[in-house]
Amino acid sequence: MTAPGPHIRVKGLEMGYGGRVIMRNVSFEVSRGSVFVIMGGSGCGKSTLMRHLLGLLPPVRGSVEVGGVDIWSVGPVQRSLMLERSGVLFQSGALWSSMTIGENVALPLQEFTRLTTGEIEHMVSFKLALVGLAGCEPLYPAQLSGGMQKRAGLARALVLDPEILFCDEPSAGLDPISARRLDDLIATVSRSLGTTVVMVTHELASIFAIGTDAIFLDTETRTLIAHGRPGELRDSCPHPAVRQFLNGGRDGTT
Amino acid sequence: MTEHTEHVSTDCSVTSGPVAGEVRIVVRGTWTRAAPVPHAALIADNLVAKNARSVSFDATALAAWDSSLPAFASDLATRCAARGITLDPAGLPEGVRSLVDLARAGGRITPANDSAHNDRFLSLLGEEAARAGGAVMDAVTFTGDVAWAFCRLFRGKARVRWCDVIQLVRSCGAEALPIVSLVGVLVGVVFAFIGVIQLKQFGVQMYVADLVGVIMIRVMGAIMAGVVLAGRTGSAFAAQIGTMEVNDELDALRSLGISPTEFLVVPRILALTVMMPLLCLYTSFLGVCGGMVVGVNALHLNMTEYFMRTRGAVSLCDVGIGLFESVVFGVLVAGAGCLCGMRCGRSASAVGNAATRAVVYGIVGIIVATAIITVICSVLGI
Repeated sequence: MTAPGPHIRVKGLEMGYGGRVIMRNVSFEVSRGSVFVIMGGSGCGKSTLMRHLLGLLPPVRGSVEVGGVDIWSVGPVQRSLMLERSGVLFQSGALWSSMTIGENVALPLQEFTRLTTGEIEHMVSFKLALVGLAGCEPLYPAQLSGGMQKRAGLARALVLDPEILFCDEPSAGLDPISARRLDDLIATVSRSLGTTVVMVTHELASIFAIGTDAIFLDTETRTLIAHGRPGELRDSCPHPAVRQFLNGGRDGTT
Repeated sequence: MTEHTEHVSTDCSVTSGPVAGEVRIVVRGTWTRAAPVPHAALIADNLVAKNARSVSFDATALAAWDSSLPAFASDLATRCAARGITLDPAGLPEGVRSLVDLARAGGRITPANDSAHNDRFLSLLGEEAARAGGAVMDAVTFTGDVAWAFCRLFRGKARVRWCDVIQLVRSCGAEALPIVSLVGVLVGVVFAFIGVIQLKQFGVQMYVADLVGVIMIRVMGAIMAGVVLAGRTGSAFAAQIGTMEVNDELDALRSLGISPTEFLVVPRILALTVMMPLLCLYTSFLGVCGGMVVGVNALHLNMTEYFMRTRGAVSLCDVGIGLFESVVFGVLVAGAGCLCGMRCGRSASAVGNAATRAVVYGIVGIIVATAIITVICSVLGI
């Protein structure tokens, strides 16, 4: 499974909805085991880019390769097999509200593995314990706080031991301590399981704490303008917009 | 308290300065929302009339101000700039100046012109047509998706959670019984009353049993059950699935490679298609009972007699047509609900619209289908 080469390769991607172009000519590579951050101002298409990477949205132009295979050149069956190998943590958690936390985390196991009910229960309680929610199986999503919902969403995203974990603004709307805990959790999981993490965020604390590689999408020019380690981008990126972003809105001209 | 508190006035006068073209605007009194403030357009016209080239402010007699004054000043500044008059805000209070600067610094955002918006009749008509075409395409795609999902179900490949189906059967079947009962009985009673009045004119009021029996079992049982379920269950389907869309829950399914059509739509259509014929039979039966209550009380028939007349009038074919209609209605109501839910936008109001549309499509679908089935039956002579 650990083929050489980048884990995800995006070439000349043009994104858009119904004839409206959001970003064009986006190309980058994500190496295995990295924590890859997609940054950019509000409304620049970060979440849209993630939907393209997830295979939920076909590109207008260009290609998205995962493990060397273009996900839009294969048929729907094979694409869904590829999707099984990635886990997604959505911005709001996106837990299925009609099911309990336990059922939410168990569903991917029921659908994609041949584990027995007992084994599934065991696995679910382990994954919930990993995210600090041991014993929450019988609760419904609405009974959890926002931070707990996100952690439950993370447990669900991790339940199939994905090769790639996508996170859409994991720490948005959380208090600094919960946000930090979630970041640490993601970093620990990435390190211990060798999971590649692709994270959409604009929380500077998360970016510097766990990001190993980053790209910056620019709203003005509608394309990718910077790619590199977050710390280096902050100090020596030729684009003032990127430096300003990573310096927390200050000019960054020094 | 008398009216002789301090006189609240909002005043603004334009005076020419000693040098030609230099004009001073004196703002006095209280500039708040409590009193009307002068309009910048009038002042700007006044400035033009005085051939002003540069304008300054005098705010020494200003008593109090809120956002009205900066709004006025900013409006005036825009108008002066358009007329080539230089405006020196130095005379205004510090707070007003900084608010005016802030308001004028941002520039204007021109909304991205996605679709060149045009209010002309033809382009509006074209947009409407395109939208309608899109809706038809959506419905066709959805029907294809559902058909494909059912194919996979029959080949044993679809991922359907049977516990969901059972839960849905309970919520759209058993829990609908009270309201369906009420509607069934009352429709039977209404038909019987009207029937008695009309048939009495010909002295054949005992035929009311035939009338109520045939109409309830052949058509109205299915229609009433369908309408109740369109309002009760179809809208609920749309709202549930729509809320899941808003919440990214559908994307969460897709991202796992689970088709929302198989996971959400198939169980709902199955549940409603199974329950609708049962509810139709139940409604028809209660309708006949309602008719019987009227028949027994108004015509003094006895119950057995009424029952025998109904049995004589209603053929097995009528029961079959009623059941067939109810199956069609079940598919239509569930399909409309799920289609509206799946095509829901990503906001709270979109969920409300989806639920409303589900009811409308469901009921219209029921009526149209009834008309088509009735015409076909009469052509076939059944």
